[in-house]
Amino acid sequence: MEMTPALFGYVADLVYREAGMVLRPGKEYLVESRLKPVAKLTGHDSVGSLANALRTGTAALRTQVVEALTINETSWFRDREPFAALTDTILPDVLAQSTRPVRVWSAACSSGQEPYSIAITLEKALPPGRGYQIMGSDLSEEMLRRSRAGRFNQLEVNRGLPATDLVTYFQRAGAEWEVVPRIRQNLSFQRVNLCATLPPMPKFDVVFLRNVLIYFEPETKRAVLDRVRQVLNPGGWLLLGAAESTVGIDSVFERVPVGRTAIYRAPARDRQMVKEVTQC
Amino acid sequence: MLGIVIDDSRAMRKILRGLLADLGYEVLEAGNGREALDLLQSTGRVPDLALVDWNMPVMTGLEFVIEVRKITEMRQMTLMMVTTESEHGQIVRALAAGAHEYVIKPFTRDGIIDKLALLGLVPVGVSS
Amino acid sequence: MTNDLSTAVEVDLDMIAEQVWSAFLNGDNEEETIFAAPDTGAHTDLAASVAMVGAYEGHLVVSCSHKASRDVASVLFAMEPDEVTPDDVGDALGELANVLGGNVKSVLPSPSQLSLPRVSATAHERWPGTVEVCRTVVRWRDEAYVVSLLSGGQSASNNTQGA
Repeated sequence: MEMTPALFGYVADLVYREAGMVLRPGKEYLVESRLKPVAKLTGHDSVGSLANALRTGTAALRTQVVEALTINETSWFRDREPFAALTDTILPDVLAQSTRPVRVWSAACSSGQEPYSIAITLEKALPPGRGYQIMGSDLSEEMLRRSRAGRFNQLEVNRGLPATDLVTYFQRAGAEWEVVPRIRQNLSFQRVNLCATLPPMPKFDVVFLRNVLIYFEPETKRAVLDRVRQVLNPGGWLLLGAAESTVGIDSVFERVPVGRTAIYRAPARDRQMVKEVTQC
Repeated sequence: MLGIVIDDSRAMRKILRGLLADLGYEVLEAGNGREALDLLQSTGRVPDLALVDWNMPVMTGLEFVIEVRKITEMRQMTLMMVTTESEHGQIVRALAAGAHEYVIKPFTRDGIIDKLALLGLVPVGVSS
Repeated sequence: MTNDLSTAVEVDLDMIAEQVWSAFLNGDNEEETIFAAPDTGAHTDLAASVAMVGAYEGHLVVSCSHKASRDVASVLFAMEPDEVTPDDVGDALGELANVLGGNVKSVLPSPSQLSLPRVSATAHERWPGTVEVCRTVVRWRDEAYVVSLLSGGQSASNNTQGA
């Protein structure tokens, strides 16, 4: 089946609605090349027929299509400031609070650059003998599969990963680079939908929730922040994306300016238990 | 900011020159390590940044890095290898010889800019 | 060269070709490019190669038609295909072989050294005593690019620069 302008328009609308990404006419090649593997996997003989099936298809199929179209190379230590804040502000505080292993949740881990960047930061910053555990979560099984593998191609490792880190924390695996087992043993990955009640999980000292809230309506943002606060230790820390803030959405998190950015802190002891009411 | 692109491929020099020029750099070019050393020594100029290929005729990029690190006046220059040499051991060798960063070919424009940002060599106001 | 190694390298060769094309040749346009394309025995005019000497002895060869070589040069030099000179074509195709070769070397037994690239007409290019380990065909802008990894041969010592 041909990829008609109408079908392209339908796909473009879908991607705009679900991910805020604009696909202008002329990007038919991008749609064609990114969706070809999805078409094959889902038993459609062409991208056109896949696009047509979207109209009546399942939400899972739509998600698969949106994911395939929005995948982008992520940088290591993206935006840098959050990682500086982790080392300079958050860790000294967390280390002073307890002697337990430091626990961090990377709540939209995508292909894994963020949780592994956190691991590298902790490897360098933690005092000898102090352990850490990082949980990475994502909505996408494909992203979780890639994160678990901990393998990155040449183009991916070029994206802001210092060469000294590359040779210290990675080993060659064929044409790719693989995070060394010593680090990978500190990470686990799990599918989590932030828009639903969270599965049981232990409390964290730090949550990275970066570039997620931007996709949600204010109502949903508030619900997500509530849930995240409930899995944070008292006085635990939250890091958001450069364009995100809790201000105007959530008044419980304390905004702490750090350098050119700001990080957020849960109350030292729960002042109020927020009852889960909003589903999105 | 002054940059020098050292690569025996004219195509690669043109790509890297264009990229640095877009960031506001003045750019010098050399086709191998020897040519680069001669150019810098005869003009007395010390670039802020050198992008250095590895496999080149006359003087390789690794030899260039070793030579440059011996010259006191050139200590300020940041050396970034941009090469297809991509074994673990090769990267370790280049860093040990004094290279500050390492980009593996093929690279994307964003890849180079990310690395320059790490080194504090992207002028303020330019983003990837 | 065992079959096991050749299968593993073939997968890596596909992946490497895909990265090289997407970073250097496709740009932001995501032009239609077919990797691991069917090998239809396309006619080739030019071959660019790099030799590997050391723990692995052999060559990485990329061959294509004149038109295809001008397409590569026109993208790398950001010029119109009819503006590129034979010198530009040699430089661009040579660099393509260099980048493919360096990446392939990293998945082969090490240490080996990479020679400078050599570009010549396929009609005059011979690889005595070599066997092909594997190949991948890339179809880009309706042209075929045959990337093949050869093993063995005395000519591996020609034209080699220290790394």
